[in-house]
Amino acid sequence: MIQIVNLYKYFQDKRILSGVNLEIETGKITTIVGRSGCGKSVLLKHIVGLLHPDEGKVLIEGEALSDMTTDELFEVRKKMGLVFQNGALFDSMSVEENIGLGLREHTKLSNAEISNKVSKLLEMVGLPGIEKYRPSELSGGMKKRVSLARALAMDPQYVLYDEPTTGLDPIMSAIIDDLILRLNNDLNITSIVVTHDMKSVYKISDRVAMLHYGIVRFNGTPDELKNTNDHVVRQFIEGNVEGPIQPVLKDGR
Amino acid sequence: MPLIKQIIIALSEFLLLDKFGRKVLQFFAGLGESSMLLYRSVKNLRYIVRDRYLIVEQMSIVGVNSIPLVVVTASFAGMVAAVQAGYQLEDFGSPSMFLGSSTSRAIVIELAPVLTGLVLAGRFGASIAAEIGTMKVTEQIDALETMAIDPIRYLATPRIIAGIVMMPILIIFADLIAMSGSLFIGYTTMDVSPQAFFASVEKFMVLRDVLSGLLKALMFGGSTALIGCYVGFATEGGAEGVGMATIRAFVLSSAAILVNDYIVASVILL
Repeated sequence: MIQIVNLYKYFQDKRILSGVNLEIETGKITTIVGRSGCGKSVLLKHIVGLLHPDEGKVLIEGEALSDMTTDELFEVRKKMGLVFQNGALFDSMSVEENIGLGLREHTKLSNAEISNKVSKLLEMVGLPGIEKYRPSELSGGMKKRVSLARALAMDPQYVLYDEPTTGLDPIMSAIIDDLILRLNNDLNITSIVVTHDMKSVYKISDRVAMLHYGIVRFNGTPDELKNTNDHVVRQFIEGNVEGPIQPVLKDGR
Repeated sequence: MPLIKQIIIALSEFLLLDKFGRKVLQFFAGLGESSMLLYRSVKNLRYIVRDRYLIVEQMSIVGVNSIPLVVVTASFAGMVAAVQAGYQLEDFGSPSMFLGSSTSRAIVIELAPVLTGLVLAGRFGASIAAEIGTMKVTEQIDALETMAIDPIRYLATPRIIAGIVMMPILIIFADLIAMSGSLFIGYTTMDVSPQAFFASVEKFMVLRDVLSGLLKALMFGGSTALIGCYVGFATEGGAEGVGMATIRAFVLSSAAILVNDYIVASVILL
């Protein structure tokens, strides 16, 4: 289980997270929603230890990340996979080298075994035969799926997705959603999905948390989300311009 | 009016001091951070055998790929040294007795290390900063970390080792090319025979000259790679940030080469 306890984060004088409390249940898909810039990705980066909280802590299986040494943190990260919003594929490497890097670094598998595993992972994400491609030759959707294959290479217990369907067409978004569901069911992976794609949220989520002004405004099932009376949450999920959330535009309108 | 003028002067002095103070603080913060980077890179030397492929790859990038640039720089440096020496030796009669020693000592001690160092600061120092900087702004460094791979071990240590090992080799190569260029000019325009040229080199050049050049090369290689890595890891923003990092790496590496040049010259030659 992942527990986020009273998490605060400031960037210079700006408060991004204002005491986030959240529990991520093992084996479930939890989606984190909220407006752009509300701190969803910042929260995700705290969960993998890329950012350090100013107050509060993140507990992975009861152990606080902030109390760990670098080596201990690396051991925890081996149990995690992060799918970056833009893929974050290493552009100096081929697809095969990208996916196999973790295996080369942390296991004693032979080159043939690594190649075999990479091929299986590419089949799993629906991209067989692209081992020799460079990231620059891939479309946005392909990059995200290769990034997912890379995240799965070390057989992680937790997979975190940073806006996996943003910028994709509806069909590709549906393919990614199905993939997340299938991986969760087949491999019993605990998934955390940061998104503002409400269609995806209803399709894949076991639990939904909404971040608003740096705190968890809503935490419940998709059905509870649909039936909530909270006006702020309702405005967000229905995408209404009128309501308690007042978007500030650059020109002051 | 004088009072307003005084206030404006005081204010501008305060602002200048404030700006200067910030720059000084930034300088010392950068010095501290780059020292930490060096310390962590040295700690990763225990993985040197495991990471040999990464190191050899970087050696190839720093060394083999720089050879054309070194050939052009060193050959012209050697030829210019010969022309200059020939011009100054005219006053002493025949240049044949001193051309070899005067040009070769200047090449080995100063010209080859500094000119090659400066050219390579632009080539591999800036390219390290651009490569690591791009990885930083496109979250590839974060991706390495989430894969439990230390970016300093994976990216910085091999580049710093490659810089320290390959720069002296390139400088020895540059020495030979520059001396050949010098001999070519002496032979074709001043009637200095190869025998007279090398006899002069043998008579006047001492081991300390060569060691001084090699020590400089070692320090130039290490500092250029370290600065490239430090600036790369500190990159922020998008393409503009990477562009600024590239310029910054070149400027800082060049300045570090000149400072190191003076330090080594003071210690070895004085």
